[in-house]
Amino acid sequence: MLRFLIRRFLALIALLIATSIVTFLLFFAGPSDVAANSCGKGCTPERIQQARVALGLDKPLVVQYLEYMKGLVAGREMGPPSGRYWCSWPCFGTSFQNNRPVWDIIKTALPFTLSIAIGAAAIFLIFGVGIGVTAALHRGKWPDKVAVAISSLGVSLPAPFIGLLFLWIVVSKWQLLPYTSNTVTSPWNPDPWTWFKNYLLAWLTLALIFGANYVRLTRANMIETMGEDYIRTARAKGLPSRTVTFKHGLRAAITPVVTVFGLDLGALLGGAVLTETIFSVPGLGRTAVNATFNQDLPIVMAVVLFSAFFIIFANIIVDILYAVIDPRVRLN
Amino acid sequence: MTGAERVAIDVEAVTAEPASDAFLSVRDLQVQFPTEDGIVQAVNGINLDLARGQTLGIVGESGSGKSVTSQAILGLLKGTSAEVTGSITLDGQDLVRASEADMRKLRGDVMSMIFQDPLSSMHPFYRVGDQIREAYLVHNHVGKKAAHQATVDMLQRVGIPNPESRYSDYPHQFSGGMRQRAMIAMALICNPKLLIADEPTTALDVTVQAQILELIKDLQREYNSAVILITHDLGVVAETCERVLVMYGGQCVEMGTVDEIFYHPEMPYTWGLLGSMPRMDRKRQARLQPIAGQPPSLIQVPKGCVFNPRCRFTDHVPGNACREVRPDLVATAGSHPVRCHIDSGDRKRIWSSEIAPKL
Amino acid sequence: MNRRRVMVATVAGTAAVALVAACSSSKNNGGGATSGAASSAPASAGSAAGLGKVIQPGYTTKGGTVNILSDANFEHLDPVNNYVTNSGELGRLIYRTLTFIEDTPGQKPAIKPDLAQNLGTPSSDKKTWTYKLRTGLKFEDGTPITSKDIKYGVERSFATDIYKDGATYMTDLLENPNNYAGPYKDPTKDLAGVQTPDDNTIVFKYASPQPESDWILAMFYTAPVPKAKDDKQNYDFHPVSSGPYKISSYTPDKSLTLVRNSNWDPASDPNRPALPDSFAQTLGIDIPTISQRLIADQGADKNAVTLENSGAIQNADLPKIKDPSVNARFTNGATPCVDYEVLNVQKIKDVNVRKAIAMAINRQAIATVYGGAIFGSVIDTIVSPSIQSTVPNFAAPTLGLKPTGDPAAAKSMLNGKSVTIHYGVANTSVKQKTVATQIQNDLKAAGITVVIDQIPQSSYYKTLRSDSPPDMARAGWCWDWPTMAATTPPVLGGNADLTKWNANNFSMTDDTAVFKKIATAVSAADSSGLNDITNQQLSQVWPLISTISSNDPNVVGSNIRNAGVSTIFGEIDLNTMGVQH
Repeated sequence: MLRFLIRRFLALIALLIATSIVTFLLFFAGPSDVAANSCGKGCTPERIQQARVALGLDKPLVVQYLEYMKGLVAGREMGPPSGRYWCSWPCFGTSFQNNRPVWDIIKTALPFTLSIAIGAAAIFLIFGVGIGVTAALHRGKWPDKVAVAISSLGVSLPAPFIGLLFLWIVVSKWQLLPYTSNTVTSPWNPDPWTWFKNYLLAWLTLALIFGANYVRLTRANMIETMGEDYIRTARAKGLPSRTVTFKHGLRAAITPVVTVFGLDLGALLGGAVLTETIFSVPGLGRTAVNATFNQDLPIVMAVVLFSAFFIIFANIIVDILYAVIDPRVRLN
Repeated sequence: MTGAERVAIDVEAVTAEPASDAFLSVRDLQVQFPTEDGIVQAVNGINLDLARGQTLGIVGESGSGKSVTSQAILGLLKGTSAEVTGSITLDGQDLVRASEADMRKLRGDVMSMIFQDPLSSMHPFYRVGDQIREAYLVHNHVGKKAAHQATVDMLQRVGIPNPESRYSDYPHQFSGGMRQRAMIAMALICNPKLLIADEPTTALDVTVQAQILELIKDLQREYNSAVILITHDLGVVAETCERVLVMYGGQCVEMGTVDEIFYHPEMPYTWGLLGSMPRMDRKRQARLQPIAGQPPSLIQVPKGCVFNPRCRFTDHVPGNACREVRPDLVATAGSHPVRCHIDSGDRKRIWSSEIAPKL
Repeated sequence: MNRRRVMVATVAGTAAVALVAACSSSKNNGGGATSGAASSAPASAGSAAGLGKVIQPGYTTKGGTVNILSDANFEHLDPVNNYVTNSGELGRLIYRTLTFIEDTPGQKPAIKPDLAQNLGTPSSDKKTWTYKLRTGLKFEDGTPITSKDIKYGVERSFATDIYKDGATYMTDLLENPNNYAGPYKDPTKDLAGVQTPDDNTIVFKYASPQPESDWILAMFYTAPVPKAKDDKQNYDFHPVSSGPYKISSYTPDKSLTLVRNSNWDPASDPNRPALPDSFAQTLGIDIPTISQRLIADQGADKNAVTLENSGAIQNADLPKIKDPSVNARFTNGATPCVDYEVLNVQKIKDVNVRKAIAMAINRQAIATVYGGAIFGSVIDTIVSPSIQSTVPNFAAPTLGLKPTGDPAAAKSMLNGKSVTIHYGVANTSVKQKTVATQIQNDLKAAGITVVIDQIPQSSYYKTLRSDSPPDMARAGWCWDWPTMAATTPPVLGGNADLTKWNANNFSMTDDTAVFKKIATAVSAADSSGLNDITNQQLSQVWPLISTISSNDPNVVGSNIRNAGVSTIFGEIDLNTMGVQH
């Protein structure tokens, strides 16, 4: 098990480095002129050249990449010759727009994305799996039919539609919930009830969309699993039906759900762009979109790296969980 | 006096009441499954009695209803769409009318089952020892340590070496034979009075088969359990059973002692079974004789004798009886119950002159 | 001036603009389409669009908080870099400048002294301008403001390697014999173009005559910056206040709060009424949501305004604005900006072809793409309606064009000549791509083939200025101060030594005689003359065809008073605003 963990951790590092190289090349060796980007409309050729020097773009690509990576782990010095400053680790550079350290921007945005991701994930996991199990156990009867109907809805309706509908009806028309505020970042800030009210609609929007998948997956897997021979054995042993369903059935059915959950959570942590935009939540997704429109490359690159990290990390967790759930996967 | 005038004892009429000394008594068991295509008559009137210490073999092809019969006895059909009628009496208790909660108390404790494929029948995610211990704990109010010890003892008893360390292994870490032994341990840990073994050796090597069958017999002697051994393999039946019930199309078509069935079979289907079985102890006479045709559809059960579409001997019966009238399970004097329209004397003659020499 | 934020707002919020027909005004005379009538800017033609209106004027009570709802963070509060409209409104509250452009909605803009006691005293050649400062001026911490602090602010704008986003007039126009490059590179060098003989006097020395020096020095590079507090790139987050309000808290991307600066002396500042006690800005709200909240006017939103482009108003909101209760809170005003299509004379060498193109395109349809009369109107000149009043006897050029275009006439003008045009469009703007496609169709009907080339947004202006620019492309000009000299010379004039076209003259005209005429008219402060040259160029040389003069419509909360659109920034004016409390 330890060897397995070490191997996966090394794979994580290797993948991150590969991602960083590809991202770096995409942005800094790509067709768009980074120096012109950072300079805006009033950019004369002289200013572009100054910007080029200030950003270190006149150095060879390899050097630029290594300096970027050094900044990530140890910090580096940045800026034009007469205005040098220290960018402490993890240094993702500074925003082209207003010179704010990108790490600060990400740190500010992260709690919002985490609030959305964790809340939504909890809801769609618990309800998605719960409804899926219920549907599987009452196959053909009304709980099953209702579950399939809701999940079809969730799969077919796009996020903007559901989100805007919620926003219009619940917040604007009925005024049941307040417009989101950018001061609510966690259950401790300011308090759990405010946090709940602030994010509830965003959670429900995502839960409906993501949860649909879990309902169908869990239902299908449960139906298949409950037909397995070892379920028959469990019942033949005289085990109570709750034990049969959950300890024997669900645990076996859950492995594909775990895989999907890991990927979904990884993606959500990278920022649910549409939901964040609709509900005006300034998380990573929205930050990335605004940065893209403003051609603010350091921010975009940092968010890409973060997203990659979250997804790769989630994958590894999923692998580990797989090995925990299913002993056949563990290599001796 | 022709055979037809001999006093025929209609087994089904005489034995309408459960035999008082039988541990397990099944009367007119019918199991129906409603499907989109129609009602599947999986079991169509089975009767059997079994005393403790006895072994009954149920023999038949796939689809003959033997597994459904055993599931019905264990009550595993409760809560499904299956409709179970008739009576199943275990030690005086009516199982058909019993509630699911009552059945759960019996399952694994008073009666238990061994399944065909031990790899798929054990949960791949839990340790073998834990699964066995689980069976023990649900029926015995003891602490985990005591249950653990009981499990280890049982593993030892079924012949698994190093039981303490093998307790912590997973099913995929066992060989086929050891796995089946563990399965047996799981079934027997609560000393059940009735053991149903559904094709216990089908998935195993021939060499291991013998060991497993030996083990089952051993344990039966030790615990004085009633054993039903379900199989399609006549060789297994010959090894272990005292009495045999031949099933076809959801019905019992012949029932008797092992000797009666093997040496004096009277039903054409049984003849077919014997004929299609390769034998090492006889000189090879001719090719193996498979039974022509397919097992019957249980949705459209043939009118009349359920075997008639495949029977080579329907011309021995006058008129259309085979196709029109369902034969009753009748035991003629000096013979065992057979469900067939052919006159009993006729059957014996056909057996000794036509069938037996070719085996 | 930089209206760069147009891209962000419109792409993010109104991707479906093209699909929604303008439902505001069905009449084609909305908002000054024939600019002859536009000299009375708030008059009949514009009132349908609410231009020049002030909501609940005449309010004088101090107190209350104005809530500003905003989307993405503004770029710079550091005065040296503050060159974008929405941070301009905030900047004007926080720091004072040497002079001040008074832009009461509906009236002609005027230049007033701010830190200066009076407007400047020029030398006879108009190259040297002397200003005396008011006395008793203080920063927010009580330290006195001296001429040296203003000079330091100007010096910073020379450090172009660090400060890249500000206006470039100081580096462009001041004399700089020793190649001064900012206060950080070589502290021993001095900026010769700005002199401070004493703490209360500041002298500006230009390389060429600048009759409009007063206007030029109204921009934020003359905001005083205390050297001791200058931490370069971080000054953005806490500029020191010299104005009526100071920053009490600023969390980037989240919120900005301005409260009264107790060291600001109202008696010294006749330009700023400073009615509200504080301004509380919330950032990160999605633009359609901002518009919804302003229209809904609930709770704290009764005190709300926005600085987003076009007031964050979406096409879908226009019917709601007709509702009387919303309409009472609605105002509109011309921005400093005029959009036009560049007809590069180096690429399209035949003037008749250029004229034919101008004749063929349907500018009314472009206005529709922009959202209809509320958002902007067709205009024939590059002179924004907001400054037409500063030109004596203003007249627009006689172009003889139909606002809806006339492809047939264009075709006959071409006389069978086969023409192919390469039209460049920024690849990220849905709106501009829609316009490009429409122009393509218009010109096709005139027998001109248009090839649309996509240009990466980041290098759009670079491409337009390069050696291989597109034949035709959209550009826009927003004047930096409201006179002709801030419009005609950059768009149609020459560079510093008049040998080649100005960097903002995307049409790349190269008639040095015209450049000289323009420069002479500037030196003589002859706005009429400049307008005549403009009209002559537009109607005879056809280097461009003006399309839309854009407006900034706004809905404000019901507690807001004195709300009008500032002419300089084209945003709701925070300076004159009051709030009922």
